[in-house]
Amino acid sequence: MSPGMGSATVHTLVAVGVALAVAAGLRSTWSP
Amino acid sequence: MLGSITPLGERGRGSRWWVTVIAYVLGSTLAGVTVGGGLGFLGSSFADRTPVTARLVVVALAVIAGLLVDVGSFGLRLPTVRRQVDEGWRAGYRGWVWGFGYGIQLGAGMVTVVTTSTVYVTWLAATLSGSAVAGALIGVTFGFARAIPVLSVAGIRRPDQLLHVDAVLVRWAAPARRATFGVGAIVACVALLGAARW
Repeated sequence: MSPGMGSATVHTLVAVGVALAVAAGLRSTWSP
Repeated sequence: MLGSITPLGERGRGSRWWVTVIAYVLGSTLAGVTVGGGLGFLGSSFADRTPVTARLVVVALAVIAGLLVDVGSFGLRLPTVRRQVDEGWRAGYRGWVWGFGYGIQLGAGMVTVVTTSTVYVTWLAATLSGSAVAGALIGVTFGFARAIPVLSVAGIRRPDQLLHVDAVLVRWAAPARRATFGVGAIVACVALLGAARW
């Protein structure tokens, strides 16, 4: 892993989490 | 839930809709940032010792497993509490009180009925994010996205409009479910590609 790649991977992980959060939040509109 | 916080209903209870809505959105966002930040903090100790690529793979596999459960593969059902927000609060408390209370519960994601595995995987991602700040970012996004659809009922001032909202929600339930599957699949691919790339 070259310098900076670790940071890029963390950003990918957080971006994945944020995308999931949007989908989960909006989808939950169809729950009580 | 959308049908519970409308200008029509709030007028009937003598409350101002926008006050209730602001309290609701604030409560949900606060719950999201608290749960996400807390999980990120809790996970930071072991996440630091685990390569980010491995964490990405875990999240991707969790998304895929969750989607399989969501579609009922192998007869599996999504585990969830059966609890719902207390309808009695709306009659017993001021709008901003029950709005904030509902927001806190719904923004936490798992203390009322969970309809999609992406809720669980979101909190898994927050846990594996490696820090309280990253977890809080994921959490605040969830809490805000969970609450903000309430603005779609801002124009409800007559009972027939409320019935129309219910009909729209029913009509969009299946497409929303499919859209969640699509987003999940894309996210899993991005996570796996990210792990492979780095």
